Amino acid sequence: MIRKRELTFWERMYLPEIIRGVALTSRHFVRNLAIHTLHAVGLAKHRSAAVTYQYPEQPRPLAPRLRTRHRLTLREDGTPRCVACMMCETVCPARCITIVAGEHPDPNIEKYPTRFDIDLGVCIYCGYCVEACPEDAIRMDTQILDIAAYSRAEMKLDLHELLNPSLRKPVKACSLPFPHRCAVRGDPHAAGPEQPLHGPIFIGGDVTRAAGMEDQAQQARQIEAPHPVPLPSGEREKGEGRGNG
Amino acid sequence: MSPAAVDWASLDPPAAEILARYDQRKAAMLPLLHLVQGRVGCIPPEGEQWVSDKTGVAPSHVHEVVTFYTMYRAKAIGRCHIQVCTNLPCVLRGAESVLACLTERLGIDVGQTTPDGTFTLSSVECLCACEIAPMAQVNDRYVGPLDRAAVDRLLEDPTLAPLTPSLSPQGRGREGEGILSRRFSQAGGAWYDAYVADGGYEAAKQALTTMTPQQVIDEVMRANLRGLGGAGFPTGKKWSFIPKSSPKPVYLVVNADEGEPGTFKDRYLLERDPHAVLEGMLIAAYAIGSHKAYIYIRGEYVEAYQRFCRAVEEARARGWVGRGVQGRWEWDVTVHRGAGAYICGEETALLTSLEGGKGFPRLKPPFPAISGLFASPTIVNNVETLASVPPIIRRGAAWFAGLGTPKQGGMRLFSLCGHVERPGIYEASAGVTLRSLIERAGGVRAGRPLKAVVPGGISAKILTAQEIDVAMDFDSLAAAGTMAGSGGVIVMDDTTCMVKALATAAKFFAHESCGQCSPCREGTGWAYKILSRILRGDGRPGDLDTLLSVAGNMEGKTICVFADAAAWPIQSYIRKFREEFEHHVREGHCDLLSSPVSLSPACPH
Amino acid sequence: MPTLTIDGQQVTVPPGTTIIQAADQLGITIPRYCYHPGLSIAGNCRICLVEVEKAPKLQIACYTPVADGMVVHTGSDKTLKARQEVLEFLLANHPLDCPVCDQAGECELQNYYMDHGRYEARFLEQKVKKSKKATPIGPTVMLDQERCILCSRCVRFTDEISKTSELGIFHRGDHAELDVVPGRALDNAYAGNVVDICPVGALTDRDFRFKARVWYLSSSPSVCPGCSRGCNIEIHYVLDRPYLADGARVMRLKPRYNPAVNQWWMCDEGRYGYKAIDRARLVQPMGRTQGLSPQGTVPSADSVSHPLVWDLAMTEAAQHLQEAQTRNQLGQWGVLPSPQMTNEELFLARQLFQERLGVACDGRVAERPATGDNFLMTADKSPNRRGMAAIFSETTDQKGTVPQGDSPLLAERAAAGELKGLIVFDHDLVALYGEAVARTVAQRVFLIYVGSHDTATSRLAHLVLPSAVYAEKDGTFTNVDGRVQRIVKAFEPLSGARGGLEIVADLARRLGAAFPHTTAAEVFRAIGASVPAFQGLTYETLGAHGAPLATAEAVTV
Repeated sequence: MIRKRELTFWERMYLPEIIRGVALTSRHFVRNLAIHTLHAVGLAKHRSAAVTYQYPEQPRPLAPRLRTRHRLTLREDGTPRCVACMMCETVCPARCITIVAGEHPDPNIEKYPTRFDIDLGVCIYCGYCVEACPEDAIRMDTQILDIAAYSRAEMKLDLHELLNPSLRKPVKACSLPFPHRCAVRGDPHAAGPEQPLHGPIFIGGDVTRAAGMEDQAQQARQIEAPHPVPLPSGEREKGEGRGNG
Repeated sequence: MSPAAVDWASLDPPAAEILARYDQRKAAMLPLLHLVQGRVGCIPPEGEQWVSDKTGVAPSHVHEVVTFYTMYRAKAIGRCHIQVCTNLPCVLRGAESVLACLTERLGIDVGQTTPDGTFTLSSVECLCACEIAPMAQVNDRYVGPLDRAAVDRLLEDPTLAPLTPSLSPQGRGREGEGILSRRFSQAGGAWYDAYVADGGYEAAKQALTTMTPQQVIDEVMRANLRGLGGAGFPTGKKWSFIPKSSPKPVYLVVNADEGEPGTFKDRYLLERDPHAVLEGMLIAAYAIGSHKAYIYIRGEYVEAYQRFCRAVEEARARGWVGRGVQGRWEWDVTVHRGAGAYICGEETALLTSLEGGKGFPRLKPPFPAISGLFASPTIVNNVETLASVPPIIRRGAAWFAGLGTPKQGGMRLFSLCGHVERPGIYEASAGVTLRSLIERAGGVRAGRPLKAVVPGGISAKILTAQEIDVAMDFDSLAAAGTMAGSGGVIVMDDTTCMVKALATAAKFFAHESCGQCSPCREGTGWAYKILSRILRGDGRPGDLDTLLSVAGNMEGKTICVFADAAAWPIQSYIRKFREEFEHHVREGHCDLLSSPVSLSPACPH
Repeated sequence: MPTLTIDGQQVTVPPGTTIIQAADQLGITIPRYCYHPGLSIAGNCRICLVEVEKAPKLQIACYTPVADGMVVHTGSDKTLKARQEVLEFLLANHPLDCPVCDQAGECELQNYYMDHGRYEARFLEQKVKKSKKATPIGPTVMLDQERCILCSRCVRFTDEISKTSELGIFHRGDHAELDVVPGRALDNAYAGNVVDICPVGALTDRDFRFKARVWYLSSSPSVCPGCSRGCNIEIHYVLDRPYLADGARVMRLKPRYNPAVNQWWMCDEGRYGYKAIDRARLVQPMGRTQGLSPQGTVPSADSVSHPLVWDLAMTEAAQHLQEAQTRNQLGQWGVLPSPQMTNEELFLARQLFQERLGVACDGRVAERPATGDNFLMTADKSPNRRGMAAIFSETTDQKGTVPQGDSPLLAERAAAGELKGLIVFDHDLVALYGEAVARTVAQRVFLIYVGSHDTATSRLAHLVLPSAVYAEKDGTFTNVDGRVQRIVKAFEPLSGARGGLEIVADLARRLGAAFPHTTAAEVFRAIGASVPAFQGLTYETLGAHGAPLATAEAVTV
């Protein structure tokens, strides 16, 4: 039982309490000001003042296991590890992953994603996709948390951004179907001449050349190949993907 | 000859002749393929189409047959095909050194052809000429034993003849002259006149003219004759399974697809005493009511095939084959060549192969006596079993039964090979002991200590040097935890690495599995891979248990007993030589002081 | 008749029945790979090994005939251990392809492993490599030799069912490989069936390749409309992932077992005919005038066709018919019913047009030559011609004339100017009679087209009413043997299309002749009551496999 204590005379006067409070705040203020000033000139590094992280110059340290924005991991030749098995798409509780598969020219790899979208506005950051993936192809370890955009549509990431974490926002400049070698602009709103911000990047990978497997794949298909076998009429080769967005 | 230049029409006459020998078109498959390959050097797609048209079998199934059998090839090879046997008896006597010598001299790897197209080098499984190990087949001929000098001579002139065996059998029966092997001393073979002079065809005359078929069966039953191909099933009993009244024709099929490594007795019978086999076939055909006999001779036995054909023609000319045999019987014989598949020694696989297909054993029941060749009642008997029949008829069942043990009558041709002083055929009573057999063969070579013996062909469970006082009949060996099998005795001295021996056996089984059912197909390959890895020095702690588990899991689950036969060596070698295997796994190598004898100028004999 | 006990349950079966068949009858499913009820017995996979009391070894259930008093245990420890061991052998050299393999989700290796396997993998060696990985062996089938478990079902299929023998298992031992014989492709008319029977992902469908994971698919039973055989099928579709397969809903068709029609099989033409469900569809009513056309007039052929709302479209149709009725000109109208329509739609059309309005209904059109084969495919490439004949040739209370025999075809009469209006269901007059005739028809009569697909004729018609395809409606078809089979509605008609029953019933209502029956089941019961050939049939009696017409022999096509 808490006994309710009566205020003392001086406390009832209020002014002394106000002065005490202001004094406390002023003490902290002066101390922080002093120490931050010393920090600004390079002194008193060992002392820390206010615990505010000065975002965005000073980012808050993140635990490595924190689930942040997704990325698709790459093989040594720059093509995505993802084989479009759809485990992540199936397990995602929020149904935020959209994958369309295509035929990989190397028969030992066989399948790869021609479209891989994650709608960050829908994603609940549960990490099930990472757990479900049998190829270690998707991870949520980019430590990127700034995903804000001006519209819901702009929060959808596709293969460009997922393969290249330094592209933080959806890229509107490119409308080529995957895979392709892309010279991509990082900021869709930037003015000025079209400059590759990060140089040519393997978006979806130049799967034929980069894999180096074209000859072998050709040979494997020509072992006792009968007359050229047409696909069902009207079908296009599975290698063509979709545009992004 | 290049396939493009083949005049297919010119093959029609011999094809017609071949087709006439078989009851059904499709059974001419294997001989027609041999015909094409003999003419063209290989079997190109046009050849397959030609055979498909002749047999009425779809091209896919012709191609299946071509790819299944070892002897058929789709592409031409060098003019001189050197096929080195790398099975256990030959490896024990240095086959790997022979192979190394050849690869070095020819400058090519196994499976390749020299750039000038002269030599192709292959490694093959047991050719059943273990008495001249290490040996090879050069085109159609067997050559051996091979040492460095022999290899040199061979490469200089591949057509040079006698590197062939002219071993006379070392065996002597109780009577001094042998019963089954009495005519083996002539390397050129005992032909009609010599055979008749020695009492040949008396038994056939007696059976056909004075006995009923049932009396013949009863006599053979009383003689306690057991199947000498390996199963040991009482022959008379098997003959009695033929339904007495059946609308379908009854067939006699002779299993001359000798393939069990360590065994070469049937080859001797076919090459040196074919009439004995033929007379046995006649009596058997009479007993079971068959007017058509097929003898399935393994494809690699070219000499045996040619000699047996000659014997059949002699017999035909003298009235023992064809119509009016002894005025009582008519029957015909078709001599059929296999094409290189050990599994065709299994009787239902043999029938499927004879009918023109891949050597796939059949689901049983029905058994061949009810539904066998061409879905008709069929008896399949081994060569040696049939060669035992004339003596039974001529001299009586009681005499024959008395020669052996109470449950297995007669003599047997034992094939001694491996590390014995004098490899060869040794005829002895069924109840002879393993020790005395080895002694008769001169004991272990160079007086070395005995390490292990395989008593009945490579599938038989191995016996240690302490276990050789066992009688060699079916029942005694079964009681000793192994089997009499085909009577092939493989002797191993103390220079033998058991891991290597088992790996060689496993290689054989993996190569010969027909691939039909999953436990055998996958298990034999798996076992071989583990053993190779252990041999290479990459063994891991759980390997032996995995091996035993794989072997045990194959047993009892398959269509035929090949998988069981593949499992038994694994189980017995590891059980009886466990420390040696564990050492290998642990240390990555043998603890033997020397590896198997390498090639030396001195002949191993 | 032998009686045996399986897992404690007794069953009596005809002699010659195998254990696996007897178990199936009891609802006990013994695992199987090489066994297929429609093919010969191979007995090579060994997964069906079961414990039979008094037998020294386990016996394969697919080959062992039952004996009186036999006692079988399909779930004993020995049996389960054997199954696990066989699975281990099968998986020893099997590639780790599940992420990229289309069979995932319907793979018997996966299924039996989850049920009976669950062991630690001990195979540490290099798996056997084979020559063909992800290689097409025909226009519709993809082969991956490493995944093959050599059950030989496909080889037996090409030998025994399609009788084309393209496939074989070559070489031996663990290097045995399934392949087409060199120089040929797997291109027979039934090639797609090998994909159905392959228990693993060795043979996969090229058309379906990578389209969708099978667990996304929903299934609905139906009947293939490709020809009059009426093979029973399952429609596999996805509604909630429109980004797959360009927004198509149906991903593939699979045959459904019907012992009286197609057993386990279907032809490739029917199998890949599903694309028509989502392609080139009419999705909204179209008309050729702004607002309603003046009754009795034919809009000019040069007028532009534009979309209408349903209400307007139906009002226009009703008004034209009412006008004709008022002017006693219904005798100059014609209706071309189609053998693509269900029995129910045909019946309603007959009741409305022929009986109540007295409009001539004649389904005869110029025949397009086609061929069948001696297996499943028939020369008649429509699903319900027999149903149409049964419903239109047996009429009661008919007011309109039913043209018979040699009387001129309606389309010809229309082209000759004898008609004022023509309602065409599904038929493409351009394909049947040529562009010139079709144009003439469109110039001379008021042409109403009720159909599902955008055809040359629908583009000529004055009024287009988009109807549903077979997958989007309930109903029945009558196949070439007179068997009536149900089709089940899998999903709603695409976009603005409507079911044929709905369209005819709506028209009837607007003409003051509303029907009492609205659902397909009710219409079918009405058919049973009025058409003698359908007597006694209800959806319940049809069941999953259909039932023959009461007068199956009597009606000739």
